[in-house]
Amino acid sequence: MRGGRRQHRWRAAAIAVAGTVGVLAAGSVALASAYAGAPASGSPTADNRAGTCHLAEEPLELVATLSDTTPPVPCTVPHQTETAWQLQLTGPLTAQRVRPNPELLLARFARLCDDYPRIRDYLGARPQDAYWGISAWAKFPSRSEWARGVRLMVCELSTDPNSPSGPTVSYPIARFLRRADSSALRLCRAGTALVTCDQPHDAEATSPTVDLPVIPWPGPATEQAMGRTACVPVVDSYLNADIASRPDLVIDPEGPTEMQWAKGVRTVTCWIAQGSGRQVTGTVRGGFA
Amino acid sequence: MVGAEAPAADEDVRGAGRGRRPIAVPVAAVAGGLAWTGIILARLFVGGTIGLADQGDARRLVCQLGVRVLKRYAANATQFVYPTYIPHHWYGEACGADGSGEPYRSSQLWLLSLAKHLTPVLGLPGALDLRALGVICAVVVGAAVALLVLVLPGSTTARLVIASLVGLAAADSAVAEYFVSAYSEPAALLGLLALCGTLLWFWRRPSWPPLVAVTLLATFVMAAKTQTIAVLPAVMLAVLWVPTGRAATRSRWATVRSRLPGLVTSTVLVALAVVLLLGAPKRFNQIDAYDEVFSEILFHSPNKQADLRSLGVSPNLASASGSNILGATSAATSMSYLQFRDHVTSAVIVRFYLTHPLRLFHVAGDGLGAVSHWRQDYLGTYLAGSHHPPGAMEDRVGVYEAVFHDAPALLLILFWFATLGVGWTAARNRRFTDAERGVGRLAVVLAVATFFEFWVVMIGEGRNDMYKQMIVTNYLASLCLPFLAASAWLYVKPALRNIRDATLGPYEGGEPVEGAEADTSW
Repeated sequence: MRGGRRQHRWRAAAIAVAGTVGVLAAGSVALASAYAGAPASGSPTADNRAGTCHLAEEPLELVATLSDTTPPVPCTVPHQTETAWQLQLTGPLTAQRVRPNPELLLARFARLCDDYPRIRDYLGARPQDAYWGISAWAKFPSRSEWARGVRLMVCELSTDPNSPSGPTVSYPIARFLRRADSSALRLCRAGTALVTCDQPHDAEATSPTVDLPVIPWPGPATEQAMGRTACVPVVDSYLNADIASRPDLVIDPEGPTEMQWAKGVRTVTCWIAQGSGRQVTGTVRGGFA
Repeated sequence: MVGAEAPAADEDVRGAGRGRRPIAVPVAAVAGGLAWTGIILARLFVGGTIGLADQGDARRLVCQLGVRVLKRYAANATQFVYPTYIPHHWYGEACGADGSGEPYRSSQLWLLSLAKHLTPVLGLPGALDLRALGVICAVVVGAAVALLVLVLPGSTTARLVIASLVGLAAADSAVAEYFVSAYSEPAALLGLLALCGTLLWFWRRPSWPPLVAVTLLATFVMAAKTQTIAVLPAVMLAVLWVPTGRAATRSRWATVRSRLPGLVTSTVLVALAVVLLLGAPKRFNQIDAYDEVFSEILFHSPNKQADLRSLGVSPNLASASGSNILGATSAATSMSYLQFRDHVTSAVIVRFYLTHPLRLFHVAGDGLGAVSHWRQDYLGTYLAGSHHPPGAMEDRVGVYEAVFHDAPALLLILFWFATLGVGWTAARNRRFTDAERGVGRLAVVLAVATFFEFWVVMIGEGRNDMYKQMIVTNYLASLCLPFLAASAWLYVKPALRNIRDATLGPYEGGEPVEGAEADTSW
């Protein structure tokens, strides 16, 4: 009886041990094989240089990851971001030994990437060009890099991740606006919505804006006429041709409302629309020779 | 190694068949398990797949399997379920705890990796399809129901009814939606379900095999997500409740020795809990501390500056009261937050509540409100392309939702005390068999687990996302219901039998069956 109980005890213990080992082994094998795609460390932030292109096929890699250590890919293969410039972080926050939280870093430094003139410059915009559909992303050193004293920030650009096609492109966006097929990054208008010019649109934006004279509110019709006249040089420059030589196009100035006029606003944006009023795709920009 | 309090652990198995058909219980267990696997499969897949859309938390798990979700880049992942994942190479901090680079571990990874292996076997698209996880969950629910049928006391019918009530908790719309999702919850939900049957098995046969099974399952549950470490006290109570092994003598040492396996198990589980807590990503601890302070403590505070001073941080952060860490008014964008981040830990928050105990009433009020809300309310449950509006939520199975949704706080408290009280008296009742007392014990253990889970969620994370965070608490509360009913039935059944006997007389109820008098259960 006693021996039987002891035997039963040993058997129970053996089953318990075997069961535990079995479960742990099966789990480990399952995990080990599943972990085949575990994350790699990638390349250092310092290698994320201007003009290099990177993958961010998963939206959270783009919008919810503080660093970007993905190795560069050729800009002619599908990719999501392109590094426009690097800069050295300065200020009291950089004295922190542990990398500060994402919210604080972004609040302090993200605006350094949202630099309109610098993005224009990177895109190769000339004074007549208005870009659209570009998002800027601030990427910081990884935790381990920060702990080693790296304080390099990277500004990456992508096309609009919320656009129907997403941010995936297969071309470099550096000096993109110098290309004849640059409509994907030019500003156009479809109804009241702002779109890139590769989408169906009613009018295409030019740059810079023009100012009307400081006079009392002239009424909407007069304001339109004044705007049209003031926009002629800007539009001519954009088309690299006399607007009079393009009977298919009309100037569509967008000036202030009466209320805005009363507050001193005189700025007019010069749009170029189709004379027929129908929607088109592509750009009317000239001078790409 | 039969327990001292369990001299006749198998009496209900014998009794259930009333000596005539001993095969009935195993057959019922298999049938019940298969039926509930089928029910869960049907409720997940018939009429279109039901799952839970991703609010961003899925990445931390699936990225470790080298996959990413297959969906249109700009598609809002919170509105529809996207079950298919394709191979993807993750680099650096993109994979980890919300882009922080810290590794995120969860026992759910086991289920997901199993689903990854199963995906091609089932002919599903991609490298991982969450529908494979749904199939696994359905099988586990079926297995857990089968185990319950085997280890519950009473007649086959009674076992099937109680086990089915437990299965119904898993089928509830608030719960089942997680089975086709990449969140950490399924591991906790399934682990708790399996733990119920395993504990009943352990109390029937307090020996090493069930004890090891309890330990493994408890580890699985605790490792699912940080908040589920809260089940630790309940599991410790469960394994220490009965002696494991018969005390050879009545000496004190013999008594201690009979509890030694339980003590060893408890020590192991405590050590595991410490490891899990220390291994939790710091980023999550920081977010939880932020949520607790700004969306709970300060939200209800009559003097926000004083509360912040009491927490040992700058009172200047008071303007961020009620904010979310990612929100526009977040205190985390201020330099003062760095001191908050380094100083305010869970221990500091617990100390705050210990010195401000009345503030717990607000916390309890919020938590009870979340329990009665019952279900997350901002994530869609249908697949994209299913012709349902964005964010639509399936609600076909809602028995427990009908019980708990909009329940007054007082009723919830009474329910909890009733489970504890009835379970406790049943567990202590010497007239019941050990298996029947196990039902009472389980009611108590589940009530204790619900209590700790509730408070860990509310003190750990506060009001932020509490409807979703409360799912494990709600699930535990729903599991209390069948075992409260079963415990109460233990008292009601003899009374009903007496009434029947008094009404019909000793022979009018039918021919007495040989061996029936041995069945004191249900």
